[in-house]
Amino acid sequence: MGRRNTIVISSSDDEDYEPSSRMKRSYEKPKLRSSVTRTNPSRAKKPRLSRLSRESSNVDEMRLAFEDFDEVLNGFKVSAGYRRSNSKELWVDKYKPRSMEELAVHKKKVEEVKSWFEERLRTPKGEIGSSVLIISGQAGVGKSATVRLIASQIGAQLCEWNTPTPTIWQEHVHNLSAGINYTSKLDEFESFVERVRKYGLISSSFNGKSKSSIILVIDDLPVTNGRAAFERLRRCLVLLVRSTWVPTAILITDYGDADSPGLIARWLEELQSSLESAGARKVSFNPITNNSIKKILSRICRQEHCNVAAEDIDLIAKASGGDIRHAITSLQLYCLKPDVEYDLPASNSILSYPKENANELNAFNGGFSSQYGRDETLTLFHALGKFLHNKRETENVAGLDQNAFCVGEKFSRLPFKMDSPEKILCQAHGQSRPITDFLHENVLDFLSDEAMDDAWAVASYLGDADLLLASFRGMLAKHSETENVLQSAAASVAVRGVLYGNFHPSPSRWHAIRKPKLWQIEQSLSHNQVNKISSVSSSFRNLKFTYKAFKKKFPPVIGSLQNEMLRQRFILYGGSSLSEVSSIATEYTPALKWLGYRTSGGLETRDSDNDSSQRMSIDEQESEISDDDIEDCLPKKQTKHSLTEIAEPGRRGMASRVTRSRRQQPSQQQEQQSRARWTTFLTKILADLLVEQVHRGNRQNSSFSKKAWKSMCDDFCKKTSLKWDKEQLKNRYGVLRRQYVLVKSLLDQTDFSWNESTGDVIGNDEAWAEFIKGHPDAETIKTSGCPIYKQLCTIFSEPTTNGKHDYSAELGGDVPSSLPSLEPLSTIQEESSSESEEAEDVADDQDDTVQPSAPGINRKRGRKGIDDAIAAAILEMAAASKLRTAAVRQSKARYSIASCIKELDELQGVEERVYFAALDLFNNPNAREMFLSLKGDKRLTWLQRKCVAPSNARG
Amino acid sequence: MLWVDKYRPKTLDQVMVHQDIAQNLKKLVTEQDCPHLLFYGPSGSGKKTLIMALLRQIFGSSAEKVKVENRNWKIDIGSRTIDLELTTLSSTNHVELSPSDVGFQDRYVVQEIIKEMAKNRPIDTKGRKGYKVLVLNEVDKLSRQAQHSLRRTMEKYSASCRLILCCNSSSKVTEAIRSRCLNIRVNAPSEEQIIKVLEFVGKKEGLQLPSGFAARIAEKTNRSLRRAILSFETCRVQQYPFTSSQAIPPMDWEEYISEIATDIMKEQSPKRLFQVRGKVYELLINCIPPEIILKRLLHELLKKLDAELKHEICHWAAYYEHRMRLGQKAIFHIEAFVAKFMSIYKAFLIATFG
Repeated sequence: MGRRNTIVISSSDDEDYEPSSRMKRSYEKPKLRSSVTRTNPSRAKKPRLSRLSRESSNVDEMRLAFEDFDEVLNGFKVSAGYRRSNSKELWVDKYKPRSMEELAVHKKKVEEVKSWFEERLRTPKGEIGSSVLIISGQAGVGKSATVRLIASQIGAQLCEWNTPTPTIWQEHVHNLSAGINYTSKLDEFESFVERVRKYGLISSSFNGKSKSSIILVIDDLPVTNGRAAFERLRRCLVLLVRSTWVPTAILITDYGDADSPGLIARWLEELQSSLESAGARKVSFNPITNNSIKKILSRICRQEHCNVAAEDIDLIAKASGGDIRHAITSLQLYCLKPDVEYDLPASNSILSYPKENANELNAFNGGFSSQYGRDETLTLFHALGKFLHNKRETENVAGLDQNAFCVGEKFSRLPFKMDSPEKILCQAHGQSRPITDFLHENVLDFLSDEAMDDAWAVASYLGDADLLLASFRGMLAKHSETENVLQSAAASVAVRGVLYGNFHPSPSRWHAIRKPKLWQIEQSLSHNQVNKISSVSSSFRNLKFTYKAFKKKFPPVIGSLQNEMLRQRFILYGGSSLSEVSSIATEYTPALKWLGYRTSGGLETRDSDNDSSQRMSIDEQESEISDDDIEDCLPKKQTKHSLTEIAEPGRRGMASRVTRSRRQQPSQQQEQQSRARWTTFLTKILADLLVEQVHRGNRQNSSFSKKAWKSMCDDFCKKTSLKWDKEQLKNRYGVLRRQYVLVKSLLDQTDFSWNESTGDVIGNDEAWAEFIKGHPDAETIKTSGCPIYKQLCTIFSEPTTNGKHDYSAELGGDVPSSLPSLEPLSTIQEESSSESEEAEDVADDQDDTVQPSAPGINRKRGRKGIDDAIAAAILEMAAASKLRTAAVRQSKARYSIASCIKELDELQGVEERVYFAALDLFNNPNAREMFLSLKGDKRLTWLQRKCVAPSNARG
Repeated sequence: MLWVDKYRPKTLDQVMVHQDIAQNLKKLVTEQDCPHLLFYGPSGSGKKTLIMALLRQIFGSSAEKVKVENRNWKIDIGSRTIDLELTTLSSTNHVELSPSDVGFQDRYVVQEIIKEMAKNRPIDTKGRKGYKVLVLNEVDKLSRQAQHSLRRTMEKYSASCRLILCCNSSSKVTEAIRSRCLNIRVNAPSEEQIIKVLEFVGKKEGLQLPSGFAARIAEKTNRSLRRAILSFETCRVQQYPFTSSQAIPPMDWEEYISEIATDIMKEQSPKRLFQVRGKVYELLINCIPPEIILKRLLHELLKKLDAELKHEICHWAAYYEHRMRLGQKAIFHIEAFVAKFMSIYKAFLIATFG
């Protein structure tokens, strides 16, 4: 924060300022600025290029006004005007470098920047390239301090652009009410740059020192959000680079790799390179070395009269990571210990570390120096890489201490080339379980091929970690503290175990780090288990699977295996008990594989590939992984057999079928429970059955015998697992007959033709429209055709004596051939063995599934049958009454009063008396119908007769 | 229907293998009230068969009319509710379930669900026994907390409910539960008994058994009757008429494990260890329990090993099996065992052959 607060101008003559006044200004400046923004809003739009002059009485007033505030704020008794106010100022500001010697930045860099500036200022404008310098470096390496110092050294006036603080929402609202428009900070920056480009810094004439040269410092770039904004910024900066003649330094802060989102870092790089290509010169500052930080820290200590041990300074310096601002602040904090008097030799007791070689110190303090340290973050993979690669010193640098714990040759390891593992874990924010899993998955890649003992050690330690993670699982849910300890202990054991065990690391090269396969495997297991339980039993409620059906339906397919197992546990034991998963897995499944394979051998040779994609098999993943770069660690393809392959390769074909039949099942069940709902598929089955009966000669005079219906019911049930009774089939038969008549009449017309392969009836639109007008039912035929027309022809065509049917002769010629044996009904075929393969499968499947299992279920079903019958009857009645009302309405419509009156009006020579009597008459619908049905001339006579009669009666 | 199911004895009188136990049970049920029962014994020894027959003895044939139900429970535990799904198999008088299916939440199953079931007295008592029976499978897989709550349930609702527990090893059932139950140890049938059963099945199926064939099956199947009958049926499917030299088809996973063992013997390196891991994953995916994998693997390795190493290897196998039970992820420990074996074996090879 120090940097932001500092004065905006420090011209060369600032040098002889009193320290106190420097200090004061640095305090007041921010307030001044903010108050200005608030009280005098019109200035808000101006760039924050404020300058300060001693003459400005305004400032003095301000200072006075804020003195009290300062006191409150800082809690010090010393007023702002005091000379020697040690603690009042941040040391960062207080010990700002005032000479080149004090600057911690590397001499060469400083020299480079300085010479550049001098050159720019000396030479006339526009003679040498661009006058923009980019200084980049991480935070706190003294970028702006360098520029400032140089400016004061070469006697130039420094103008600084500080990025304005962003407008917060409340402020925005306030401004709005005050009538000020919001301008984005980027806009402000742009307009500022534009002005600088066009007019230079005119304001330099402000204080009459125009002869001194000016350096512009753009300290921080405005925040850009999103690509578009960034592009604007870049364009404006590039323009600046190209055209400005004021020597300009743009300071860009590099963010560390870890703590910035990748995008911003990339943009910054892009920006720098584009500026460079536009001609800017770039100087990048490195982090400040430990030694120079130490030097500066000890100088400050001397000046502040506080005794800080050299080790502490060392520590602070190390922890700062090259950030001098941070180091100084840390030092100040450290010296701020309440009891530590500045003049007393202090602080040695507070932290004392044994003097050891630097390395060990580092390792030892790794976890504890965080009070000085900057938090560094690592990604999980970075951390894993550190652990797995296991980089160590080539030799033990320091001889072991006398009192150090002595370990045998065998167990000693070289010191790490990194921080302590726990610290890395902490930085990576890794949780112990995933870390352990990752290590387990990947560590074998990093072991040398010979080192079997190492592999064991690693595996054993990982096992230990697992034990730690598992013990008290759930038990300690309340004691999260304990659990935390356990977790971190486990992670520590895992990591250190891996580091320790890997004694002979394989020569380092690049390995891909894989995601633990274990996760996938666990997931697929548990996931299946959860899923399946729900899916299983809904379909099992009414069905009992016999073994054969089971074989058909559930061939052991790896992948949905556990799923299958849970199904199986009901099936085995004859469906009357649950069996254990383990016994299914180890005993039933293999045996069933054999049994299933042999019994159905040859039949199921169809090998489909799609089921192999369903298989959650390992070798597939392995092949995926092989795309990464771990060739040598991969098992050879040939040596792998998945379990299924060993068992029997021929059984794969069933998988797809299984899923299919399973899918069908629920829907069919629904149908069974509700009213008969006919689908195309079911209709087709019925039609086939009917055809079969026709061929067996069970049709008499276009109707079927009772026996035929019964056998059809049975067959239908066998094929579809639907227990529909004779009436339901008969109803459908009626529907089919109607359909047949319709299609036949269609095809009798010349406009329509029959597409045999698709079963569509083809005709042009007008013809269809015409036909549908007459037969509303035909709509469905237009849309879906009549695929079973062939069969219908066979079924409904008039049986001519020689069995020749008018259509089946040419259309359904192949139907009989598909039925090889046409025995009479007395022996009902057990297996209707030869329709298309698919139908056969379905039939077979269903056949076994739907045998009623227990009498209880049977009874239920019987009751259900009655219910269905009643429901059907009621529905029929409803339909009939509906039909009736429709018919009535129709007839009413045809013989309406209006039309009657219309006709009446058209009649010639109706007397008025007759006319009105007729109107009375029309109240009677029969009369209306009679009237309209009569021919024109007879109507009048009829009317006259009718009208006379009632009048007579009345009279 | 599988022969295993087809020839499963339906009543206690038909039982062929554990006749003594069956008779005792019958006496127990007919003469006295039935206590809580704990059946334990190795797999394939007939625990389940006995339980089913016992239920039939108690409730008559209605015990066989079961329905499978998949039920959802919402359990309110203070701060949140847990949804549990459990498949039960129930008749009018008994309910069977495997609480260990829900994993580490089995505690709630026992606390809430079983309690609820136990609380409700059967509606239809009709002169029958005035209690219902809860059959719990795989009790040894229940967590410790679940077993503790089970103990309470047993005590509290014993008036209306009997528990029949079934597990492989009673050592993993807490003392408290064991002492509240009548413990019934169901031994693995001896080979002679297995042969007798196989011959019985063969006679019923009308098969010609060559002499010694049944004995070979019995020998192969590790005294598991279920396995014996399954293998028998498999042989029948494979080749009939039987020849006395006919190969008995091994279980595929056993073959797979022996393949792993061969791999291990062939090469000892981290790379090979990685391959072995992959194969073990494959077995785990197939729901082969890790303990069985480890046991079988040890078995296969011992077959090929020099006598002087056997002792040490057995020790390590036991060590890692123990750790596996304590731990969470079996693969870590199986792998550690394999690594240990490899390292021992490698050292041995180097020492012997230089």
